[in-house]
Amino acid sequence: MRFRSLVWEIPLPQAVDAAPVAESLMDDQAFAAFYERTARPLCAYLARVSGSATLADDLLQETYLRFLGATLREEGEVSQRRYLFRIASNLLRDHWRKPVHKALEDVPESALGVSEERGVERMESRTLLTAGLQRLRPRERQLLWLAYAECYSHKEIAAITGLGAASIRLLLFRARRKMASFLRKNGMEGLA
Amino acid sequence: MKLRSCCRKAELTALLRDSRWPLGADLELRAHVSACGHCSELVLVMTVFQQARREAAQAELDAPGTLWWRAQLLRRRKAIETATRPIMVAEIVGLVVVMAALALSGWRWFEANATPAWMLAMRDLLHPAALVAAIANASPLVLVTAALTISVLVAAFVLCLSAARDS
Repeated sequence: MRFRSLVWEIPLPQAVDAAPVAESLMDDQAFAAFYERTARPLCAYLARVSGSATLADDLLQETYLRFLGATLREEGEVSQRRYLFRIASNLLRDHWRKPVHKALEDVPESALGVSEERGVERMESRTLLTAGLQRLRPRERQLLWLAYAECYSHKEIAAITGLGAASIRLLLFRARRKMASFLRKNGMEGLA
Repeated sequence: MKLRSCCRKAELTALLRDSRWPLGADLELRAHVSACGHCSELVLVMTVFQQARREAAQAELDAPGTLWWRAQLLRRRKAIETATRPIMVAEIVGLVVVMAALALSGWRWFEANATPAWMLAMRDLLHPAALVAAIANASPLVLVTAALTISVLVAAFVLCLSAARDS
């Protein structure tokens, strides 16, 4: 292993310490504040779209690691937040592309973290949403959450998901119609 | 499928997003929503999603400190890899040049001085025609031994390279 020792005997880490790491966009306090503002909605998005709270936790961490590791960074919190959702969406897409992953039908209800302490009405709404989302395709869940939970415009959704802005409208219309139909069938009304 | 968008959609979306529906809406808008299929569907779906989002806002989070430090470690590792790559290449090139220079000077020295008989035999053997003839005349046992030796040397070199890359 003479070759290896030749390569690694040079004391480079000290030389590297000073330069590139200092280029991070945020210090730990700024990141903590940003995380506090963005992690919960991002985690909810990942959990609702993936259907698994455990997977959502893993993807949440990976999303922030990639966000902090990225060199090209968009300015402003709104853009950074959108960028965060884009990373998360890409991770979800990569997850779905993997040949072996757990089918949505195999995910137990308990994995979604339904709390027993909530009110009955909230439980019903939440359970209905979970059940309704399970009947949709991952892409439809993604679009519905981004449009109606995060209130992103069609253009922003297109930037996050990588879909064409023109097709977002139709896909979203279909997904919303399916979800509304499911909710109505199960006794939900939105006017109250 | 006909795609229609209601003119009051933006107004309604803002009310739902800010949790001001239905109390913050005027009577006219409420009457409109009752009559408009598009808007009533929007209210139904968005109410459920907004409620889920509000519930998610109360979830407990892990501390971000560990995550931030992990990201810094990853950045540092990446920076070290980037910085050491050209140096590693330069080292390999330098090593090859030194070996070649040593071999050349040794060759010159042996040519200028009395070369031992075994080295002369080796030099003759390195001639392509002589090498082919030697291989043709060699016994199978010698050929197998030579092939095994070369394989072991190549494998050792590859392992050495991959170990250096992994570390």
